[in-house]
Amino acid sequence: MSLMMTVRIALRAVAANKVRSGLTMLGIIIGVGAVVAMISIGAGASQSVTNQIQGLGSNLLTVMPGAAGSQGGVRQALGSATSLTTKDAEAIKTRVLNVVRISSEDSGRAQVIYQNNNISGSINGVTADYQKVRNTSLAVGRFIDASDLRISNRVAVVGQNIVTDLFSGADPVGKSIKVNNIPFNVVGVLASKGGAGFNSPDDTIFIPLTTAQNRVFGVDSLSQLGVQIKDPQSMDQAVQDIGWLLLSNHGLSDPQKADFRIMNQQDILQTMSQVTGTMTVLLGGIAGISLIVGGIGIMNIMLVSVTERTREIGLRKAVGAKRKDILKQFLTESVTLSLMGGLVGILIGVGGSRLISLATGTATFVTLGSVLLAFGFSSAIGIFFGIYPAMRASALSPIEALKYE
Amino acid sequence: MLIEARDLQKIYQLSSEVSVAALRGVTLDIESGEFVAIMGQSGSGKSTLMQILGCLDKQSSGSYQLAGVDISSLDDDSLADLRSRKIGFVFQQFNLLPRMTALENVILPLVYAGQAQQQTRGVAALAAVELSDRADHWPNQLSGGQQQRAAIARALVNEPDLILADEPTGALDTKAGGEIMSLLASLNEAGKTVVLITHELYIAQYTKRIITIQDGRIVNDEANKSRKAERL
Repeated sequence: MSLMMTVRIALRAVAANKVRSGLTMLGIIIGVGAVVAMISIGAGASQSVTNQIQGLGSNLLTVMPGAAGSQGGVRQALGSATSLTTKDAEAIKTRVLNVVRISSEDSGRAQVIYQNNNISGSINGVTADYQKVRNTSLAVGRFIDASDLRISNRVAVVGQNIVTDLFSGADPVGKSIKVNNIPFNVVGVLASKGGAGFNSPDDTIFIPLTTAQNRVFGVDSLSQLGVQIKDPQSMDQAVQDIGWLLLSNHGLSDPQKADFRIMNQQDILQTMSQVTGTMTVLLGGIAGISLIVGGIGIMNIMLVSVTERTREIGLRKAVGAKRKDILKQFLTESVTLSLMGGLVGILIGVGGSRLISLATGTATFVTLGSVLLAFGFSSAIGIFFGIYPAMRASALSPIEALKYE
Repeated sequence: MLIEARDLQKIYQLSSEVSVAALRGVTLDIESGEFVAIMGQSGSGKSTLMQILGCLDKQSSGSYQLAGVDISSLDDDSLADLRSRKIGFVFQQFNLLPRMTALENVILPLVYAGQAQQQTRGVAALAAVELSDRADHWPNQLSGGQQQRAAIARALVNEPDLILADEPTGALDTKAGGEIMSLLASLNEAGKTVVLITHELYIAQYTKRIITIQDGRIVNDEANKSRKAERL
């Protein structure tokens, strides 16, 4: 019997019991829909994390001062020490291989006033290289440049949220603000980066590093160094080199006592993808269980169908159907059920994941892989759970089957 | 010789201790072109005999050759193949498949035998039973007599050596039953071998030879002298 004919017969058999077929398919529909939607949530999370981390800059190492030594038994937060200096930055730039550029930063909080508005703002003293190292772009105006640094110029570049909070949305370029009562001229606005978590550039006011050290914070230490490396392959070596260089510069010999911390963006990315990957597998796995339950539903109905159609099987055998013909017929039927369920499930899964992102604002991302997986899985379920009923049907003796009432 | 059965025995093993002998040594020859009725009460073994003659089942002992083929050496699939080429079945309950049109039902043996020109041959078979205008009807849109005629078309479609009809009129009223018997008789006139199983004498009267079976043995086998030839 040709495949087309077999499929046509299977479709008719499915259509003959619409309610029953529909309910049976529902199990697969829910299962496949859940798998597609769950995996899309996982993939969406993974993608937004990757985007965020990559948005911080490419091939980036971050050097932070270690925690300040215990004061009365209380260990201070990471980055609270004052061990990192401009000298360290210079040394890294000149003596470590594959360093492209360095962004030396000194950040802190300060009172910021514009007209009647008064906020406690996050201030970051930066160099001209910040923009390239941290992968930020300007929306309006200019960024801080070398001449600003040379003369400790009182200019500021602000993030998008500052525009909203301090300037109530008005164009801030050319306006004057006061940081710790020192007047600054706003010369530029950064383009929005989106939610990059805490220390988002959107929430920050950037001023020249020299101005920050000399006039605002009054210290010459750095709170953070962004080191851009030439290519991803050189990252690990650079971490080592910077580590040894800083240890010797700080007069330390035991790496355990390092007063700084080097963070590799690649490592963070890997850890985060592992976390989101695990989440995806977990969600998909839970949804997969409902697929299996749906498959058992198909097996159940196919067994009922074989019993109901015993006479039909007997007749088919009497007029010449071989075992494989009967096997093929019932297998096609169960695969048809599960594939139709799978297709509807995919549509519902895609629609569902859209709804989820609309309703909750979480990013979802339907991958081709998850659709193929669900599709393949549902047809595999049709075969797996269809094979036993089909074997039972094909093994029936034609006489017994014809006698069956 | 079309059918050559020698000392056929069939024993059903119901449990390890209980067994029932349905056939106790049946020897039977049927030639091509014959029109035979196998008669007997229920439990006489006639259905068992029909199943063996129809290659639906195998004998416990004895030998059976259909058109020169010894069936005892064949496996299930070879038997199915043999059935689809050599035998056309007509059942009491018609056994048309409900979700197929009359024509689709008729060509089913051709489909399983993988033969060519299925549509043409199916249409021809339906014409032979005067059911051409019902080709696209579903079985439940046909009367009992029409359903049985479609079933006969299905039995004819693969041009079998043997048509085996198991109580073909059992589910029909007298008039429709008579029409079916006339149809079978005319098929026989056209050269088909028809073997009919029945427990009713007036049905057997349509045939040319009546074999009576009782308790698993043939008790009578003679030409039907009082044949209802005038009904043809």
